[in-house]
Amino acid sequence: MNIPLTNTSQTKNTDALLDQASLTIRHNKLKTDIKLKQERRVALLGLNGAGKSTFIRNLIGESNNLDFDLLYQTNESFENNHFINLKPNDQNFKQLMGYQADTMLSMGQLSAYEYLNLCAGFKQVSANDYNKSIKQVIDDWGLEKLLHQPLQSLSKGNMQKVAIAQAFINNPQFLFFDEPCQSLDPIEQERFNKNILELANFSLCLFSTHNVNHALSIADDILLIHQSEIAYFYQDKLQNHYLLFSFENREKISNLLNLSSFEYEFLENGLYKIVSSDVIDEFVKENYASFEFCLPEKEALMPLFRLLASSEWQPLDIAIDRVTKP
Amino acid sequence: MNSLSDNKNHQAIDKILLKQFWRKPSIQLVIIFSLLAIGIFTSLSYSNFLHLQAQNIDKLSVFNEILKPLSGMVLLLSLITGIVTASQLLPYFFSKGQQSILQQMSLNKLQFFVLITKLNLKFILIPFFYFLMISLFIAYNSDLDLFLLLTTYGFLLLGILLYTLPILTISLNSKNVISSMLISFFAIILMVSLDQVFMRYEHFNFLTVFNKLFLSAREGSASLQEIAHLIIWLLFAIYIMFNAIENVRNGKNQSAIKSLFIGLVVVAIILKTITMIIPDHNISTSIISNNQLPKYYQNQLKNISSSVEITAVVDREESKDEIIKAISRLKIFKQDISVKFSNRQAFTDISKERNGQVEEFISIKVGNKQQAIGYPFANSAHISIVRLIDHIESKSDQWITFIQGHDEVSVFSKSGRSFSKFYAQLKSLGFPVVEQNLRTQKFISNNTKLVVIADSKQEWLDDEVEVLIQYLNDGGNLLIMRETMDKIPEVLESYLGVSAQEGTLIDEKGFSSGTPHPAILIVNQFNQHSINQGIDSLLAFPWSIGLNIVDSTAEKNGKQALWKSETILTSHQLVWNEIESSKKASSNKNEFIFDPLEEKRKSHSLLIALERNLASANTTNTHATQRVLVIGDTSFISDTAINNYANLQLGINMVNWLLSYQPHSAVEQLGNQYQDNYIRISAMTHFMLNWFFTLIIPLSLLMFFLYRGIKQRNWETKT
Repeated sequence: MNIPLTNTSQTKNTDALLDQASLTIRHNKLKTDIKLKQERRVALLGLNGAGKSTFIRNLIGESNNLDFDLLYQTNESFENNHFINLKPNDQNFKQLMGYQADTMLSMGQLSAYEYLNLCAGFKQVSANDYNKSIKQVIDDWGLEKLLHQPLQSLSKGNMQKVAIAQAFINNPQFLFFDEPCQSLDPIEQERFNKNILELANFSLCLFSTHNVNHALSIADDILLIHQSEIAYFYQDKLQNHYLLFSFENREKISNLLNLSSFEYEFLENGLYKIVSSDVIDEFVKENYASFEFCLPEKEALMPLFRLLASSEWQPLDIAIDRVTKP
Repeated sequence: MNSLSDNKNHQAIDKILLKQFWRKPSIQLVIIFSLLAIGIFTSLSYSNFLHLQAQNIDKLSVFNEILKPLSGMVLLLSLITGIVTASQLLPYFFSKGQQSILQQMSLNKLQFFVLITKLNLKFILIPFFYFLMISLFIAYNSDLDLFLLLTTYGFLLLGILLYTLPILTISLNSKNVISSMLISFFAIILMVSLDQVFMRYEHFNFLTVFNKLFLSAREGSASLQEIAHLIIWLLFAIYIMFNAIENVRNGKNQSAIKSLFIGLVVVAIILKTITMIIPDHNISTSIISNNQLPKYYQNQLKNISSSVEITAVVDREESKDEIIKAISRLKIFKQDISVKFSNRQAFTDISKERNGQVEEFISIKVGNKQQAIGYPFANSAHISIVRLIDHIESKSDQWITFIQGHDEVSVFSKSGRSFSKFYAQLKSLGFPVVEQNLRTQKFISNNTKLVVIADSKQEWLDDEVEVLIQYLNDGGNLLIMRETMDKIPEVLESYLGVSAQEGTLIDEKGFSSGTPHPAILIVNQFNQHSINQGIDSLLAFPWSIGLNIVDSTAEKNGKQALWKSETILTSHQLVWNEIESSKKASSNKNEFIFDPLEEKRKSHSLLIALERNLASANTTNTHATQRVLVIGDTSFISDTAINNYANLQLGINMVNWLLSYQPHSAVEQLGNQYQDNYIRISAMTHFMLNWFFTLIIPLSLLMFFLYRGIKQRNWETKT
């Protein structure tokens, strides 16, 4: 479905099945929409320097340097179907958003409790929910022991925990985490996974990570970022081994995989996929010695990472491309 | 979002950030530094004021000596505090990677603007409140112009706000603390410097931001145009800051510079339009006459119909500031006064050579009449300028005629005995001067308002005396400058009733005090006569003679009114008239010995003023009051002595008085005294101004911060 990408507007949506919280990303050059829906956990994967943080900063409106149009949609209230379209810069969107940046360091002599209060103040939490909201994140994230310590005396992992916790203040509908688990111990990683999985059913959560296992274990969808572009979008993860390509790239794929011909089928989003997983398996075996991971999705992702890392493929080679649809 | 939750949120942010700010050593240091600087400055100004107060100096004002400079310093310290505090907000958040909590901020632009401005102002205004405390304490112990003090507070607050907004804007665009501080610092320097430049160039005057207004407001006047300009600049500063807030939320840094430049162009157009629409009207920021103009000059200025153009040829920037301030004070009463600064080449005819160097001067044009006055001024700038304006406006062809033909002193020659420097001064003040020989031109024209006889060394012919007496009978003014052995007709002496004593006045006291010769008489006691007005140092009269008042024969003619005589200058009691040595052409300085038989040691009259009212007398002339001055010395105003002490001022004052140019002198005299010319001295005043504000408060605060710091460190160690 094409959603008009206009400025903030209120539309009476007659589609009763529409999600209460969604994000539509339209790639301006490729005229392609990607829709992230409510109750979804979206993992953002990419190589080092792929632009994951930049991508998130664009999603939340902190930066505006990528060629995307973004449209958030949310239900005005849960009792009716009156949807509001929001842009990342809209003040209303900020009220519905929680964000943890990977750069968050301790702020001087503030205690963790003061810090959470400060965040709640900026988020304009209503007077009735103010204390409740802060207490909720303290409980959810096990911050009791840290509350009255100065932030600068916290370990990196504990600071990371506080930074993640502040994003949950005021029950945001849209959650963004940049490398949330990078300094967390296994217990805290598990707590993060648990809290993400138990998110309110009207939330949309997007997090970046380098840990493919982690992404695949808790994410519903996967966005692969390369050179600040969306290189790949796995919706509902991978069920089979396959590679996607555009029609124009079929010869390139054929040469790369060293095949004279191969079977493929057309997907609705303008892509083709290689039907036989043997082709990929063969390719992988010839090119790479071994695999550390056992999950089938992983086996599909790793060759992609390697291809991207080898710089032989550019994002556009495998990106969704409606313009070139045959 | 209801207002209750808004309040709770604001309070939470305010409370936490305030706490955070108070813990910052940089903020603690800058506040202590500000308070110390204000305290020390106050203490020094106070001591200096007491010193001046003890000397009974004229024109002493607590506001001018202490509070005016202090207010400028407070503005500066507020900005320094602002630069430090602003750098601790957004740039600090950025440096700690905490900008993400701002990204989640639900505050709208106005709420965020109010939040950060309010938070910063709580610290930025600390120097102001300290100034408030000090000034109120001083106001309690003096007789300050409270309205002027109040308007100074108002403009100071406006200035602090005006400069704070750009500082905050810069901090919103800075990613780290140091760059925020450095850029803010240079931006403020740039703004102030540009303001100074714009102030000096007439065509760019409309672009001035604040300095000009602040300077003139503290002097007692504020231009409506400049107030309107200030409001526009404030709105522009708010607009730019709103833009910056938008950028913080949206990351659109590139549009900031563009909107700044477009905004500046729009503001410049609006300012120019305002300059054309709003009349250049000045309002008074002072209720009483302190820092204002005496009533006489106010009325004179209001009554001038022509526009006044002032061109100043001065070198130093401070001189330009002084003139600009003076003009702004005059503009309260006359709007169409313009000022521009020029170079000497454009005024070669007015420039005066002095010791090979061209002097500074101010040329004033009222309608089609133009005159110049030397700079620096003898009086305060606005009084000097208004006097000249008044002079130009009120005088009409007042010729001054120097009599020649008896070896009198010439105004045109360049010898040491001549009056060429005095002539240059008279010319610059707008008096047309001529020399006339009564033997060749046997009448004195009607437009001659003053005749000067300076040291006649040859006998007068009867018909010359006749012409002069006729001139006096007709009500003409006369200045007689006498010397030992000069030849003033006896008829004239008896007509006026003033005769010369025999002998040269000898002042050994002056000689022992450092004069090069005992025959140089020093006068340092002055009565309240307007001729003595503005003479604030000594007068030196070389080889002078004493004068006596005798019966006048003028009245005996039957028609004339009585002369009212008054002695203006006298010597001190130890001066005697040396008769023997004065007969010699050149006397050795050790030859003077007081001879009690022939000579008199007493207070000798040196300058006598005669005045009579001819309005009731049966005379054909149009002079209402006739004035004559007789002075027992000529050389005091000669080229060699005119620059000694206040001799020049006396010469000018004598001419002004003779031409009835200063009927307002009494008013002006009052104008020289400020009501706040004292501070009530007490142990409490000393303690408060020397110790309490200077050391006790700043050090107490320092101790408090140290205590808090130690407590904080202990807490951190424990946790």
